[in-house]
Amino acid sequence: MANHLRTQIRDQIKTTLTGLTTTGNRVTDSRVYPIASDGTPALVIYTKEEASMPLDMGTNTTRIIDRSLTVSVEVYVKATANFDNTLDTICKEIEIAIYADPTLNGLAKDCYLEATSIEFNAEGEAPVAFATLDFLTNYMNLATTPDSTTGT
Amino acid sequence: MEFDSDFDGYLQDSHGSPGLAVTYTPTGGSAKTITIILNQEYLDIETSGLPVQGYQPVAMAKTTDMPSIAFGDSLNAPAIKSLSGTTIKAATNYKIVNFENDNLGMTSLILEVQ
Repeated sequence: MANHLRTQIRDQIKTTLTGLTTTGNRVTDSRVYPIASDGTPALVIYTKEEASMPLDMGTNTTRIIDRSLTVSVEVYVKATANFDNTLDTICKEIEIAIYADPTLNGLAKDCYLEATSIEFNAEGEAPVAFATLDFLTNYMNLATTPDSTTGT
Repeated sequence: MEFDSDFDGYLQDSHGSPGLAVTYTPTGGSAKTITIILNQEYLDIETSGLPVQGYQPVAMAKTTDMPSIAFGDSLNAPAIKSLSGTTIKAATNYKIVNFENDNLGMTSLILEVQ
């Protein structure tokens, strides 16, 4: 049995964002430990929020579930200079990569940037810049097969 | 009550404290040598997401050594070595990004590595 579609989507986005010019292979998903001091610039991908609703009435075997998953891509930059520009550059690279394949290799109906938030912290030996890019990802599945996408 | 000369004792290596002679350069001014105590404890640099590992360099200095201290002044610290000569920390240039005067003769310098 395949993984839940949410897992497949997270994996697909991780694949898409691995190897970007600025962040390279420093991409993890669902990380819970601190970012290493020399581990930035880095990306961490989470799928923490999802809303869903049935598209139509019916039995579970025919009911289609319309799901809206927020995929959050967190960006970490620790640098003495140009941390703000570096952060924006990384955001640009992420957006270009995602919009090159907004259906995420056929897993989603659409995926688009819904919100970006940015913050800075001057504590420590070098400033840290942080951004969260929330991509709203719409996908559908039969109620009984959350590991397989379906059309409408 | 402590006098300015007492602070000299606190900061001098010859008096047993970990004093470190560094070059202090005020912005647009002339460099001079002062003595500090340098601390740099581990710090989790917080974000809305995960913390980033780091440390906070803080120097304790005599307030009279830097009467016109300002944001952006610099400190150049030599390498810190063990008694056997092994380098524990390489020579480092710092920028003063904040300063906290205790109003009793000492000032904490919050530093950023350059």
